[in-house]
Amino acid sequence: MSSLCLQRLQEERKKWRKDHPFGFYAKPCKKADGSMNLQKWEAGIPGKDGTLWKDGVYPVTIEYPDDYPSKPPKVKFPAGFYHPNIYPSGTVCLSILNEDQDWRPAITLKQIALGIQDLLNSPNPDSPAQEPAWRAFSKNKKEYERIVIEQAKEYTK
Amino acid sequence: MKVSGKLAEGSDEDDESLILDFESDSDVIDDVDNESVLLGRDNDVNDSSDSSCYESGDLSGNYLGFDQREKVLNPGFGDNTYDDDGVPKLNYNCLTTDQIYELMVSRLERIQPIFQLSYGDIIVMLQKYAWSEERLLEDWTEDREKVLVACGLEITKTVSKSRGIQNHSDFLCHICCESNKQKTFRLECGHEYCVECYEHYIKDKLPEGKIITCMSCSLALKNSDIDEILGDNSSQTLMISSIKGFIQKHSKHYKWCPFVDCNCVIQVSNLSSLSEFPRLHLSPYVVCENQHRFCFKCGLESHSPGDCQVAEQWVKLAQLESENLNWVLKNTKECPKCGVNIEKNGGCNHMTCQSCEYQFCWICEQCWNGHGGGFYECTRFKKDEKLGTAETKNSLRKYTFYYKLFSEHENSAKLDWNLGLTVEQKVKVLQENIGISWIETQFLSESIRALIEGRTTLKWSFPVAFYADPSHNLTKIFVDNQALLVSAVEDLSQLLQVKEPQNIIDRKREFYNKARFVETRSKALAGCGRDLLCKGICVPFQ
Repeated sequence: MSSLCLQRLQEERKKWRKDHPFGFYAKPCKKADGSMNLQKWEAGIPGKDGTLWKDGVYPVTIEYPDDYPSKPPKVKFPAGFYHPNIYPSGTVCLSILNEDQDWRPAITLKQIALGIQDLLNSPNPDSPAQEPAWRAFSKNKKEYERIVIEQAKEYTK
Repeated sequence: MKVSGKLAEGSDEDDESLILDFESDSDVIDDVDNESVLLGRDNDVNDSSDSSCYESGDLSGNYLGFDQREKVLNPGFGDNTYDDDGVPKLNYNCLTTDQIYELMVSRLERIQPIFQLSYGDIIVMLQKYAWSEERLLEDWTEDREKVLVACGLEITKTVSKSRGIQNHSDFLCHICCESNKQKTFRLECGHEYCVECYEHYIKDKLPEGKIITCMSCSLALKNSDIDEILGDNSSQTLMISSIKGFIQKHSKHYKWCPFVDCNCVIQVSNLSSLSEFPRLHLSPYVVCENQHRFCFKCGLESHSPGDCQVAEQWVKLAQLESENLNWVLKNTKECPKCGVNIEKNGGCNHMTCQSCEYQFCWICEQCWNGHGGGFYECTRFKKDEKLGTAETKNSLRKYTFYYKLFSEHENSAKLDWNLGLTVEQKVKVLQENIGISWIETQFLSESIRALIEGRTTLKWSFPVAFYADPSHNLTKIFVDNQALLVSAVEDLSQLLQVKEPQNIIDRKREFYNKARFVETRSKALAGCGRDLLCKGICVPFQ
């Protein structure tokens, strides 16, 4: 891991501990030997109040590549997560996490976390990443809402 | 970016400089009065639809715009002319990325007055529009504010800090999270980071050839900013990468020379004649500045006498088969009775075919019965005739046969190439030592070229032979021609093995004759192959 990547991640951790949005959590994973792996984080994204997602805190893993912050981290929900812009593998399709689109080295963990929370209730039907959720979202809203609420129960706060 | 030369204020000077980049066409300019040049220029800058009349439908690749001009200047260009052998004439230029860059710069000088912006700004816009002036101008006339914002040249909310490198005593950079930074960089957006981080970031982005933005928002860094941060002229690298992307996108007009380490780009100006070639079973060959000959249609090296279809099928087949084939050839033998491939997995040479239970000797491929326990007696190496082999086996064997020949000549061509280089080197030394003129040693490079071309023709004649109907008379003639070319090529190749450079000079005439002979034979074989293709005797199948 480059020193730039490490230093930045340490700072990200410091900043997060000092100040993070309500209801969120994020912490680096532990390595097998018990030390901290700053390149892999576990985080929880709460659904926004007043939305279908409000009852859940959705777990994600955030993996930082060696050339972070030049390259964006990879954010993953559990495989099979129901959302139009999340791939069957759980990988999130979001422009700020795409190197060729809106990723900027200055984007912080807080911005990423808030960006994902925002994505939950405002999916982008123009860039579908999985079929079931996308199809239901664009063709059968009732069914979509039912499954989302059901899924929220699985991840209750 | 450094742009030399002056602004274009409707002067005809820059028109000329644009064309002067092409040596071959510079003589044409004299015959045309500047009036028409000017008219042509105005047309294609101000009204994109006008220029499309030169080449409808193909405009997309003409963003550099100089090919249209050639046609205006030279009335004969648009027509499909043929050379003595009935081959359609292809008009092309060989460019290097540097030359393309210069062309873009001169193009820039011409469109600058329309935008009334700095070169740096226009370059950013052109990058955003993948160097398509037409599209850029269209959007520009519609809504210039929108274009500026989209390209990251203006920000919607005005923070308006001063742009450039700043000096601090103790700055905390939020990218690397280090304090005590003294040198920083910021754009008008006010996002400020240390120069080291920017350096790192820019170096990472340069090869992508896309607009490099602020590390926090979408405001664009101009070439001058990049050079300021890195302290050199790295923006040139960005431009070259950008051009590479452009060429890749417009592969219809531009092709990279496929030879290893060759940086040439071929640009064909009369695309309409390209369509003539397949009909005639010919291929549009171009030669780059480094004398590499390749096919502009399929991007492969010269594959005469085969046409692109033969070459394409052959390459596909080779990719498909080669790995299987190599393994099969190395590790298996066919059962002499049923033709199934057998892998020998033990030391014993007494084989029993699992499919037909035929017992045979691995060494001589004869029935085991005849061995009577003493297999060391088998002295006969190989049988000529095989019994009852399946059709597929046959075709595989046929393919193997031709593939071996193909790759052997491929190897020889590579070796000849290296040999040629050493011989040329030797002669160069000699030339300097005893003072013979350069022109007098030209025969050598010509002979080497003839040899390589002969080898390439030979190599590609095997796919043709593979796909041709073997029973046809013309195929037999083709094969005879092949044999003649083989002997001609080998003769010439042998001549080049001469060790003493002085000998080479002495045998100049011999070189000439042999090289000439190879050329004639190559041509004959190519003609013969074309005959096969035109008459449908050689049909590359899927």
